[in-house]
Amino acid sequence: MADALLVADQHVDEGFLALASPLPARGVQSIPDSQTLPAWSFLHTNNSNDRLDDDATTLWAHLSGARRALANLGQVRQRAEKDRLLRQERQWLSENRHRFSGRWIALEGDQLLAHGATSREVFLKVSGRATPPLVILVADEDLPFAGR
Amino acid sequence: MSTVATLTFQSKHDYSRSVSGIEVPVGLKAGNGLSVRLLAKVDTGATNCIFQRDYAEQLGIDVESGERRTFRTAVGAFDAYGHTVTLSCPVVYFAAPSGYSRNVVGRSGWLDRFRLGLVDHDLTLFLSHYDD
Repeated sequence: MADALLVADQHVDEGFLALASPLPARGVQSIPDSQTLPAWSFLHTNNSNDRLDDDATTLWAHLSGARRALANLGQVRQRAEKDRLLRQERQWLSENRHRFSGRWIALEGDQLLAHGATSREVFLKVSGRATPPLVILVADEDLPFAGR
Repeated sequence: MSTVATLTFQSKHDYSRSVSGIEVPVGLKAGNGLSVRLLAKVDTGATNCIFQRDYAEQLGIDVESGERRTFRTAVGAFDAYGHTVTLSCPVVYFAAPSGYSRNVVGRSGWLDRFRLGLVDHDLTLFLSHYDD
């Protein structure tokens, strides 16, 4: 899947997906010229209409696959960004948690945005942000937990 | 005779040995559009998802207006109130006592909606929505 997305990404960069409509069954004229789409140049040298149909169908299937991959690309990038923030937050917590035991903190990635004795004051300090930061009460982890 | 099962997961979470329990990131969004991000412990022994009331207040939710339910624990019981938010859970509970300081994701509404793989030796949790 990652390979498909990478390919889709490259296709965007190369203008491959500028071709926005399905290919007609037979119609060399409507296929973009070789300057627009070098990969299709072999079509012009193929004299068999049946072969042309097969090639066009195959190409269209690849193009559809690339489009589907592109549609997912936004979600994949969003998830990757979220994962990056989470990794930074975990790292920050593992290094600094002990300093804020018993306090509320607001984190975004590796940035401490606010801390305070109550959730109210911390939420107040970070209100109005486009995306909500991670807000937690840092528990006292001195004693092992036995379950609720 | 052994059984071979192959599972694939959408995401992988590394958790810390320095924290008791296994924490996962959780986002809650209320009907009014307000949202919060927090960490909750995975608790296979918990019937529901239960969060500190501080989050309900930040989401603009009147805790006591929800469906009341009493939860028992090893050392006593406490009340919590059910509310609808956007998570994977249709209903989550917010603890009534302000001293309640744990957030847990339990079976109903969370574990029953995910596939979960756990390799505690490596401090790694694998997660996917059930339908992924």
